[in-house]
Amino acid sequence: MEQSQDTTINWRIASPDALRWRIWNDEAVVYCERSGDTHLISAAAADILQSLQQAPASAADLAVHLALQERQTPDDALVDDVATILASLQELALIAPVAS
Amino acid sequence: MKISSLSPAELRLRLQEDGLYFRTGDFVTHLQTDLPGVADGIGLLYADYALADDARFADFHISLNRPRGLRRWFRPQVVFRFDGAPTFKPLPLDQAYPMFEWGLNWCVSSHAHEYLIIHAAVVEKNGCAAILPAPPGSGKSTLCAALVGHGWRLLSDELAMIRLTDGKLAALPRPVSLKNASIDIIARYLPQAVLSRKVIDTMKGTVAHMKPPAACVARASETARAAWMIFPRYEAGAATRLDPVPQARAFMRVADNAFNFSLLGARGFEALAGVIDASRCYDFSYSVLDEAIAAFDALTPATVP
Repeated sequence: MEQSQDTTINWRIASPDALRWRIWNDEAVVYCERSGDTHLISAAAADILQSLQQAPASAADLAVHLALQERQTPDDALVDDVATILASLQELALIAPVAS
Repeated sequence: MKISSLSPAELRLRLQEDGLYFRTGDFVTHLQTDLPGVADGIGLLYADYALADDARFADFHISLNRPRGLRRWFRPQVVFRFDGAPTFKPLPLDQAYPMFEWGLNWCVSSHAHEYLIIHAAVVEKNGCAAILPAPPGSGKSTLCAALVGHGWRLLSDELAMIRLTDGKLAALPRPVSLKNASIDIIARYLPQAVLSRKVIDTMKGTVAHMKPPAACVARASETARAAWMIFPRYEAGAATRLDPVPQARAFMRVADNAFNFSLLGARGFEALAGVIDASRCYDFSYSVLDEAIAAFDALTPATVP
């Protein structure tokens, strides 16, 4: 739990070639070929997965990315929200911390 | 040639001896039985189906017969065999015809993995198909029967067959299964419908089957594209309502209703995603069939075919 609050940890897709998803409006479904599981996630979580598929990133980095998309300035609240999403994606075994 | 070209005596003899080969949608079924109840059901409900005497291959080899031994005569039972092996526990002999229908559903849902198969009815009009996924008791088959009696083409009342190759819906028009109160409801609502006799005390209660219109059977080779995903629910006294369901949530609910979603893996995911992409999704509550039909007739697709 303490680890997921560290917004400087870099995160990566757990199974890079194994994810498929679809985004419809504010929600998305993501399928992991490795586990065979399908999950309902938010569009923001799907956006984060897409970003991580490009390159590992921290909560802070992802918050900047999301803020830029919305033409906003990132703040601590956004970083916390991103960290919460990352924690839930980790629980679903979709992402993992990059080994330091 | 159709099954109707055989006299009742010819049909019984054919079924008793080498068995009958006939087509249902994309499948050829080989059925062997010495049970008059099954022969009568086939003669009544499958009259418009094509014989497949020239088929070199049958997808399913099915037999329904009395077991050997005491239960052949004492509280007689029927045994369903698939490829010669008993597949289910025996049922009372009186339930032989419903057992054929249930068994054939199992054959398709357990083996036809070139399709994503959803437990759902499918009806089509003007090239656009409505998929109705629903658990037992939701009123799906009653609604399906009513729609089919009012101009909608029956693709299936039980198994939505999504082709993995192109995402289109394959037709598998077979007799519509009705249960309990819905039997008399449909008999009154569609006086022209041909219904089998009622079979009581089954695991689903009292059941009967409605013969699909000949036109639906004749068009069994025509696919359809999905336009609506509608989750029906009959509720006595309920107002007729169509409530939009977010597509991602509809996806998850349909995946739960699919027989082989997990088995198909990524292909199943892509097939279902394609169908959801093309569909407007709704929860549908109804209590009056006339209003339900009007609501369906008023549906507009997301894209024009």
